[in-house]
Amino acid sequence: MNVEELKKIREKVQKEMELRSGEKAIKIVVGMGTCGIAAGARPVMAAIKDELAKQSAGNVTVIQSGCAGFCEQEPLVDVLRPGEKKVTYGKVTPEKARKIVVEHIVGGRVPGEFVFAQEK
Amino acid sequence: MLELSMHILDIAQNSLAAGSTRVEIRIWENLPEDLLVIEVKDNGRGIPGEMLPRVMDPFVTSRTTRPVGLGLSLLKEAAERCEGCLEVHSEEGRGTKVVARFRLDHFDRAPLGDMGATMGILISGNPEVDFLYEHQVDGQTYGLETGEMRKILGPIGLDDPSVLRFVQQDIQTGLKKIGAATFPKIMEVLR
Amino acid sequence: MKLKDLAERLGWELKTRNVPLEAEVQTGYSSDLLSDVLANSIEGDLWVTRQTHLNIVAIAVMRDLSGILLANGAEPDPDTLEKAAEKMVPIFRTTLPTFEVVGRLYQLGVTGAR
Repeated sequence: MNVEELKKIREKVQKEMELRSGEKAIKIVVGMGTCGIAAGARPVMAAIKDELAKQSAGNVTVIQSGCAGFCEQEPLVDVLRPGEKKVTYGKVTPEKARKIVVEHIVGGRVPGEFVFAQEK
Repeated sequence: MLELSMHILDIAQNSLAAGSTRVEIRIWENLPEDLLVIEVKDNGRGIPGEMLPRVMDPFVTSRTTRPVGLGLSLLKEAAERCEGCLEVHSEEGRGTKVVARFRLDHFDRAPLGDMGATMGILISGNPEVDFLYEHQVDGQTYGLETGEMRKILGPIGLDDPSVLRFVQQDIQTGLKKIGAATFPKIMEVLR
Repeated sequence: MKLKDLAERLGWELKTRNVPLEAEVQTGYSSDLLSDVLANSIEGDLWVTRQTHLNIVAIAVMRDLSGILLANGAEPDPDTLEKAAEKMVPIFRTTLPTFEVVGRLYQLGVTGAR
């Protein structure tokens, strides 16, 4: 492991951390069961994390879940924003994932065309 | 799955679902013996004795609290497709170890794929869990361990986006250095 | 039909650069198991597959295949394209699933006859 590189990252991020808010209010859940991985969940998760960094969206946690039982809709992504009902996006691709981050997470507007299900 | 790194991600998800706090992923490539071995070892709740013989059966359901799914039977098939095999060792309350062996230079042996992406997703998605990734090619080793990373990162969590990028980059560079994941004899055709 | 004419008729994306596409294609083989292609393909076959890694070029060279068609929108790995150009193996890409594109090839006279 490149220890020097990691030390540099610590310095850089510590400086940035002073500007970020503490609360991780928004939760994104990416399905990472066998069918999710086979359908392409790994690049979807990578795209979400990358876009969140690009948008400097610091108050978001991204976690993985197992098989939800809707395998034909994988990759599945849930978004839980405070005060909102859970939105589940289906057949997510890395491109759609980035749009979801920009429009829903940052912009607060649900891109309906990607939605698979929404909690009532 | 088209890549071994996807299988590894899948098996590691099983380990996490079993409540593991430490997951060790080791890969050995032995060129003279034409052997590739992948091991995923965890300290989760383990698989009950009566279930263990059936754990690679694709029809064994995971709709209870037991996270046994298609992942193991797909990996078994991937290994057997290239004259290899899959072993699952487990002890309830102590943990599980999955070992997959493959003939390294077999045409049907799936390429290793992006281990950086797999480890990146695992580590940044589960920042409270300890991960070890060790890759050996005929005596040359690359390694990455979250305990060591935490010491260096201090207050910065493993779920920070720059950590994800670091893991992907470090693994890509590290594996290239040790000449990992090649098909040495098959590549002779393309010289 | 010539490779280049098939590609044009069926709207394939050409992935390799500067590789001649004049080969007459009369037969094809479809499989994602490389050992299977090694054993059962014949010289001149157009190979339809979703496999994208470097080994597909090795197979194409070993079996003297006329070209590789990647189905389901599969993207070839960068080193695959590099080697394919070096070894003069044409690689195409289609977004159609294997079953569909093979059906269309059959309609144009490319069969699986051995």
